Amino acid sequence: MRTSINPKLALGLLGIGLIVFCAISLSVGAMNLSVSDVLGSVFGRAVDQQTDLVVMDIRLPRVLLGVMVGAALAISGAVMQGLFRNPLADPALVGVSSGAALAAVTVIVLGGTWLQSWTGWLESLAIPLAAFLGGILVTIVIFKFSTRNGRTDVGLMLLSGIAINAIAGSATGLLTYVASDEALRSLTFWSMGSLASATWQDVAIVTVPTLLALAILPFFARALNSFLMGESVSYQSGFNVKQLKRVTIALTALAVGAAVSVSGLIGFVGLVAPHLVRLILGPDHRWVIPGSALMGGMLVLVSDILARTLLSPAELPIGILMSAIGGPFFLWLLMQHRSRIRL
Amino acid sequence: MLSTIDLQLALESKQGSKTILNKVSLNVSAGELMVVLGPNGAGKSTLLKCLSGEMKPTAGSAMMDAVPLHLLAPEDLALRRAVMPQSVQLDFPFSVTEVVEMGQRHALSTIELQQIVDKALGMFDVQHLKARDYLTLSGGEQQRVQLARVVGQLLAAMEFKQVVPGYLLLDECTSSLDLSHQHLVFKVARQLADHHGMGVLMILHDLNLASQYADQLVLMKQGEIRYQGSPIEVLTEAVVQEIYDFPVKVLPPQEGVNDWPLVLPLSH
Repeated sequence: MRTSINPKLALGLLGIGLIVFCAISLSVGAMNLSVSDVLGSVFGRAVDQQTDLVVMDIRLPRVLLGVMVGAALAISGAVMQGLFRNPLADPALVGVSSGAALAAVTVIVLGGTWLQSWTGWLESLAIPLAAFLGGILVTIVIFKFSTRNGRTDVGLMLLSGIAINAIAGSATGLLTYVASDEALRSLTFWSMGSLASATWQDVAIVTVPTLLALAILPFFARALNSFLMGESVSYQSGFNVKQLKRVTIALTALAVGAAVSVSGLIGFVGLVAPHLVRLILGPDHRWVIPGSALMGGMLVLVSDILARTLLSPAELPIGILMSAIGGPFFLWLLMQHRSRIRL
Repeated sequence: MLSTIDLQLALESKQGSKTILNKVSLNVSAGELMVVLGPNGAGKSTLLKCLSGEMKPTAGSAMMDAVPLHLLAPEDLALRRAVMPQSVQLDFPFSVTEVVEMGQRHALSTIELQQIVDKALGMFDVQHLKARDYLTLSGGEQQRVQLARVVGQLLAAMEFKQVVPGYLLLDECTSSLDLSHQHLVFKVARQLADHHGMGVLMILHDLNLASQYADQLVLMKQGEIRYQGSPIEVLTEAVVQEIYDFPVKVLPPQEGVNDWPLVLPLSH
């Protein structure tokens, strides 16, 4: 059962935790900085130019990218779990992320010639846009595939996720293997994710859809709650189910697409974060959505700090750490739900 | 009045079109308790889905107060009719109170919400489970909580949104209940019809419960309404045998014991 903590207080504490981890993340790295130096730079009173450069051009975009990517993946996970009516849905597990990654890679590799004719910002939007379309396509396919008569079959959902991950993974691998394009990032990036090359532009690309989702989704929180009892119950209770599905699928695909296009494939955030939030706050989406955003941001930040420091000066792909946390967690969740998973 | 006129419903499949409901016409009036009976696959649940607005008829019409149901927005419809499906699957640990609150699409004040939840839970004898995790309840307790949610939806509309009494559609809502709670549900249903003026339509398999409590019985077979009328009128040996292909004896009402016909299944 959940704790009996006041939801608003819990959200506040999560917010404070996120800020603390931001400060820690800003101060650790190849050049060790004190928290006060870091804060000085962030608030425009830099101690020296080098510190300012490291903080403002390298670490701050990376930290913000981590927070936003984590938030995007976590709210997408929370909403997908509502949409699929089971706590095992996750954008990476069911193949939405890899579909988005494949679409992004396809545009980079095959769209090389006509992309060049686009102007700068349009070009940088083409990739997240493609990732969005790839993500939305996979969501709809999985939803149609695993939902019958308004009920989702968890086994079918997870298995079709495996299939889609295999297909998208191999196609992404093939494309990155044959591509000579230098703009294409490494296969490691697309399969295990990274925040290493964070730019302010990346931050903007993932922040806009994430904030959009955070602004709109609360209006659908109660509808999502009733959707957990099935599509027809939600309709009978007075909610516009068609609109709910359209809006939530579009918003989650948008957030996942944006996150994947700038940080590659980071798995399990969408699985772990909402579940932790439900343990603290209960399953009500009015709290789960904002809570997941904060928790997801924190989770990715912590993983990134570990990725940067564990084998310093070398850097681990962040996906390795997320999977190290998420894999056992997923197994534990499966144990909890095994009586309800059938094919 | 909740009504269908010559309602036809066909489902398209690879084998072609299959007729599920054929020329079904019925009226559920306010203040009336109607029970729909019939063998498995007779089209009862599909009829209920058409009456709730969830399914749109292929031909003919389903209307509430002469307005076709598909023209009504879900949020307006929710004030006038509530539906209890055969089973509800929920895999998230909401509390009983939260489950009942989910029936409230339209905003209520905290006090109003509390009042409705308490009243609805009390009606179905589950007020003591208020704070429990819904997932830890027994099947019968879950069913009563779902009934409280559904009835709460209409009660709140009447009490706080000044809406005229609506229609309650219940699909095999007593399937997991013990003897005393089965009768509790029917007493509540009667009370909702008699005192609150709701129209109640229930799908049922127990002929004797139907006979004891219903005003009107509708007997369906193969997508059609075969017989319709008061229990005394339609519950005859010939009718029941025709509908269920099973031999029965019908005992007429007896002074001081039962004022409704009793159906006794015979061995083949």
